[in-house]
Amino acid sequence: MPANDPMPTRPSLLLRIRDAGDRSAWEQFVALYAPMIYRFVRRRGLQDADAADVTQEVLRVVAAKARCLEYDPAVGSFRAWLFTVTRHTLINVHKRQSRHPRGTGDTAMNHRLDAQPAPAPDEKEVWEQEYRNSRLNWAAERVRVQCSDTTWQAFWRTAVDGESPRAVAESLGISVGAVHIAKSRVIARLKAVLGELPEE
Amino acid sequence: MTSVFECPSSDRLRALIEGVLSEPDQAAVVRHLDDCGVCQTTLERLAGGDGSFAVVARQLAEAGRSVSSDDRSIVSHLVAQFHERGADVTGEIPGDVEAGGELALDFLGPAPRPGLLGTVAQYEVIEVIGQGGMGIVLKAYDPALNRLVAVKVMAPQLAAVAAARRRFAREARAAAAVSHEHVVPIYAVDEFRGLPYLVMPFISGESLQDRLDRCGPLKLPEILRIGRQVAIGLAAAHDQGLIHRDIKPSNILLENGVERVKITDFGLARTVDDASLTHSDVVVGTPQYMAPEQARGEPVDPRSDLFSLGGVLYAMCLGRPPFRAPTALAVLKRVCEETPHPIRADAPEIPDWLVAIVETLLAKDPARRYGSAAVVAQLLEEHLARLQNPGLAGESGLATAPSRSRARSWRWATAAAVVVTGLVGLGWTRATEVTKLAEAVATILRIHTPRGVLVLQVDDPAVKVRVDDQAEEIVLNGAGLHELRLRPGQHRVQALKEGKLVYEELLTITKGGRSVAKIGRETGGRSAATEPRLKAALKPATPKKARPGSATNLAALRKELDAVVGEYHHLMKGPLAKDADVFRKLEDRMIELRRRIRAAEARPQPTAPRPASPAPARSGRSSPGSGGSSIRKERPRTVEPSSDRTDPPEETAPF
Repeated sequence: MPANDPMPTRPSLLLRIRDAGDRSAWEQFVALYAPMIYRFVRRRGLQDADAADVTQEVLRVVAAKARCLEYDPAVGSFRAWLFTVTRHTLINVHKRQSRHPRGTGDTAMNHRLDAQPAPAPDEKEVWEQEYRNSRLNWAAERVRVQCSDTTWQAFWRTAVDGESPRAVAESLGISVGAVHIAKSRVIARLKAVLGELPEE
Repeated sequence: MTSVFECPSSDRLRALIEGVLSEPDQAAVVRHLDDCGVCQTTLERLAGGDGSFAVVARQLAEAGRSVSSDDRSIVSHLVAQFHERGADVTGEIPGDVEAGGELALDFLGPAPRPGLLGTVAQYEVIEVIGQGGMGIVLKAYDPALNRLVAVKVMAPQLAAVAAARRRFAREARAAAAVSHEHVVPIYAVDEFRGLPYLVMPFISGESLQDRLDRCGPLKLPEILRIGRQVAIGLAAAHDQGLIHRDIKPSNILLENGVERVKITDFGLARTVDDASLTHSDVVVGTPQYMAPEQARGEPVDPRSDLFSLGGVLYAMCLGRPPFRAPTALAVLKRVCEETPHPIRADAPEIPDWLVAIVETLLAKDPARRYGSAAVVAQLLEEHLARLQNPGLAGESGLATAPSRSRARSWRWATAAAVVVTGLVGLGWTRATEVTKLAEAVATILRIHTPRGVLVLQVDDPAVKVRVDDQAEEIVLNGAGLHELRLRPGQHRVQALKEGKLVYEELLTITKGGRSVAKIGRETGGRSAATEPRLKAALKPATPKKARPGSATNLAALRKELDAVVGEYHHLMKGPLAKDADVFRKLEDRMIELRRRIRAAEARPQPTAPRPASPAPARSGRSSPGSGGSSIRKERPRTVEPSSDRTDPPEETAPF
């Protein structure tokens, strides 16, 4: 594993994306948040295409708003804000689907009341779960591309799948010691990457 | 270096994790780790793999499971697409959460009275009907005409894109041109506070999607009724050179109280993907009903709408779209590669012939679909009539799938989608057409280009007209009312009487133009519709008869192109495309001029005129080798121009 760190500690991603030209910040941002938004929306019952649309829409809102985002963790986490944006976009989609082109005499207010129930208690939980998943997947992917497939396999199969180091060593054709080293190195690396990615 | 049997220190283990041990040292520690359980545990702990990591490991497993490979691909697509567009999206987004959790309606004018959300021009906005990436749809009241309308306002971030605005206006006008009972009309197109909007009637009812969601699969007569009306509406649109591109149940409105179906969102799908400035196939529309060629980003034609119509019919039979998958990309893959689940497997009551119609419409290869929406409408109508009146059974025209002649009629349709307005009763094979034509009293033969019209008036029923555009040959017997759609390019129109060529004309069909020619006993004249305002820019300043390769000609072409480009840019600066057609014509003119310039540049510059050269003087408009020259050669001996036909045929070309 290379000792030089390709991702030194940086200011908050959310500060960095205020600069629309910071491509790597945006790449990281989208890679991190697009999957969670998409997954969340899918779990809220949206079709794939609609989910992709919503994700796109949320990212657009963030892009448009990024410049004036004053991120203050004391006021509320970024992902709580993102949750509101996502939920709102989702509501609009439901509204669009259920109301267009229906033209009943209902008042706009009634529609709004129908369309915006309070967030279900588990909704936030799902959101948090998807955030955790997304963050982990992002970090895992980062580490995975930095090590050999064998190293990754040795880590994943022993640490995540719970296979015995001996069995994995045999199947990968490496020594038991090498399996342990691979596992330890990936764990260390993963923890480092996760440590650099504050929960925002 | 220490022995393999001696446990390494914690520092050495840390160094091992960090990868800073020397090669031999590392090898020794690795060998030691093979067997020393204590060091294995220590190593892991030093790496951070203690109890807290067990939680992370569990979460990793869960996270890995949470994302399917399809999810991955769609997300990576989203990511790629987002980067393509860049993060520098400016402007407000409708539905912005910061606007008090409500839609951004701040562009509205002040509400004239309580209970209204505001105004868009003279329209009093009552409520928001729907909202999408494209824009927002408002229910409004038009006090001047005392009626409810639906006002669709373009999203501000799209309105900032000049091309999107232009396209919005253009497509809206195109849709407005389709005045048909099965197409939602466009009342007005305008701009309010910098945002383009269009006004449509407010239709009280539900969409086919709503109906399917509410009721599930529909009954056979209902399927045929709705399918037929959609097909008729599509035929009308195709007739105007307009491809809907987003036919799906939610764009099909079922009006309350009357059994009338209307297609909506005409051409707007096009606006959407133009404005998204991306080649992505994810975000534009719902892929479930998209034709394979569309899904692959290949050019679409009216047959793409037919595929979607097939999908809609399928959905009416089964209550679900033909292609479903967890992700949009997977859907697109299925659309392109897979055969939908057989209808009969789940709905055995659907008759064979309907299954065959749907399957034909859902053919991957456009050439294997029906020739036109009119044909489908006709087919469905006949089946509907038979269903309602079983006595009609046995009608020979009721082929369930295109017959042997389909391929042929399609070859025709490819070059010239034959859409017969006014004679919808015409069948869909060439033979039938010819028969019916012979019976028709009308004496106008119309040739439609996708975005332009060439009208040939045939006064003599005894003539046989042949239209040839190099790839296809269309033969029409006698007089009749036809509407053919020809590809842009050069077409040779010949009229034969008793085997003798009595008329020949080489016509260049360009997009967006209109041209008229008469063929008759007296071989009548033609007229070209022109745009007086832009005549100067559009009228070819470069004489067609100039030597194509001459330097003067090249210079003149370049000068002309500059003039056209200048005019184009001048108009661009003006208010939102006051006339979409003008832009289109100018664009076409530019394309044409650029092609001619390229062609001229490609030729060696002649030092002297070459009078004997067969170089296609007339086909200067066409690319070299397009066949123009051979036609040119024939021309002098066959044309019998009438007294009022003194200018060369190209001059009738649509400007």
